[in-house]
Amino acid sequence: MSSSTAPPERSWRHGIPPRAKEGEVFGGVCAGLGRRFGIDPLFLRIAFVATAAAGGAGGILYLIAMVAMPADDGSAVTVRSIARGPFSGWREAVGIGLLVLSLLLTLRAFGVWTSDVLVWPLMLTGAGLALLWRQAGSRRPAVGLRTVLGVGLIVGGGIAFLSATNALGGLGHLSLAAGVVFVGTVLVFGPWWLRLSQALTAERAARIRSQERAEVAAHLHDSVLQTLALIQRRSGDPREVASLARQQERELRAWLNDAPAADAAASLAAALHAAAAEIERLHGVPVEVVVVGDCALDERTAAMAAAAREAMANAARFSDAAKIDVYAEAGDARAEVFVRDRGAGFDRAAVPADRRGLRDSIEGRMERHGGRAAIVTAPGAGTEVELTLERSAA
Amino acid sequence: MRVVIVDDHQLFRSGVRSELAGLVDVVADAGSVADAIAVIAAEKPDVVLLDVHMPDGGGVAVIEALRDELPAVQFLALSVSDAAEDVIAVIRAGARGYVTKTISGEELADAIARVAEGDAVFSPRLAGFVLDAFRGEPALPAGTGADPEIDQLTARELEVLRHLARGYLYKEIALRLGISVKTVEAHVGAVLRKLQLSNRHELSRWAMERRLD
Repeated sequence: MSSSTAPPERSWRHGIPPRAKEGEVFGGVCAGLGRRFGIDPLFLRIAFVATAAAGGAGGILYLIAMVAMPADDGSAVTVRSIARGPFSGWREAVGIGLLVLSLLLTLRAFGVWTSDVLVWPLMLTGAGLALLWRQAGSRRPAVGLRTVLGVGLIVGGGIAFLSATNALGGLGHLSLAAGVVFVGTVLVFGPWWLRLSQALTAERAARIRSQERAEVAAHLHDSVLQTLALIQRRSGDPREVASLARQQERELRAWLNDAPAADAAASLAAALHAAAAEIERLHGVPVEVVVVGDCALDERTAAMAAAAREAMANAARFSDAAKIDVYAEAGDARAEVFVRDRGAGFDRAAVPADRRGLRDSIEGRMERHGGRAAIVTAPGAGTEVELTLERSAA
Repeated sequence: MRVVIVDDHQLFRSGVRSELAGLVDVVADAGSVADAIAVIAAEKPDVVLLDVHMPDGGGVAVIEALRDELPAVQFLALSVSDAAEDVIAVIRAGARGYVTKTISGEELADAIARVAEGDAVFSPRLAGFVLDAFRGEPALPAGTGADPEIDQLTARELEVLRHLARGYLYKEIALRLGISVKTVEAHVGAVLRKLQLSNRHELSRWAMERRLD
């Protein structure tokens, strides 16, 4: 044991001797002391046990030594390590129990005490609870030595309390007995109930997840997969393919951004998005819509959206531009929409008088509803249609 | 001009590479956050084309890992995402701009050149987000650490942003507003700085939403 260990280091010669991991039986206190003082630890053990049996002094001394002496591998049984860590085993648990017991006995001896009737049953119940509730956190099956011991301790605590107060004898204390049984039941079954409810919550979450997954799968099937199939069948027509891809992209975006299913009647922004989607579908030209703010769709803003749609259609049909930019800014005071392309542009003076789209559908419509339309264009410079509506003036 | 492409889709990386062939010098590409950090640190490119959405933190993670170490490398976010919180998050992390993946090759090369010179590049959509975020009064009342210089855009900056949102190019904006292209660039740069520094409610909210998922 001690004689067989490695050459002693400084700390072994000076200060508090460390507990020995090697050759330890309980906490390594005897082995450590024996190594330091050159005594066979067996004698020390006998001395500790004897004094412990005759009055308890040995047990208390041993526990104090166990806490006070550092382990030779650096680990120490300290109050902190007990509070923090999971118990490494029964030995440590028993050590802690004895420590608490000795503390209680000391308090009792000094008279810092309420009554035996209260403290001892409480101690038993507390120990039982510690066993049960610690286990409730783990995923292992609940039945085991620990459980049996825990339930036993709690029941024992209850019985001890009842018998000490003589509640078991008289019917007058029936309510007290019932209360104790009830509390005991809650304490015993609490951990299982807790675990059960946790399992239920987890199961519900899993079910919701799988439902959501099914919903996503269904949506992708109806939309993206359909479009991909269409694209494969029409791969000879690049314009059609681009338009299909674009349309699908728009739908998927709306879905991802959780936009409510394009209700074009809801707001100006929704109406503009719907109009852009329609123009894209009809003419195969991408329309990029950026909206800042939004406002409700009334008669006037609906007319504005219709005028904007006409401007987009014109740009798609005549400008030959690769894409159309739509920008709208809407608030309570005013709404503005800009439809711009970087295409051919045109000379307003050269537009034949019978081409009424611009005159009626855009400018006339805006003016009828108290708004303005301005068209900025020149051959080769693209076109921008600016629509303005003062809303507060209505 | 040396460019690194970071995107987790191989198909997209090779597509951008071929589109940019002859316009800029694509020195490397990377398909993950970890690869990107290693490749960028080794190559020290002028500009990184950065995908916003990638596993393990996305573009934001790449910028945050490198911005202190390699301040000379500029990041341009390139994304299919339209969600404001994604775009704002990557800009606030330090990207100099944001363009959508549907951008044409020449436009992209132009944006890269602009970012390499330290200018900002705003797609119409990003301009829209910024206008949305800076609408109305600042959310924080005076005396709560809110800086009106940073929390509000000037009239001129608003005007430039509106034109960007309408799809105008810098030189077209300069022409319309009767200012020089350099001045337009300066306004956009100022907006970018405010976007990165301001604590406006909307910006914080977008950033928050991004962090939660």
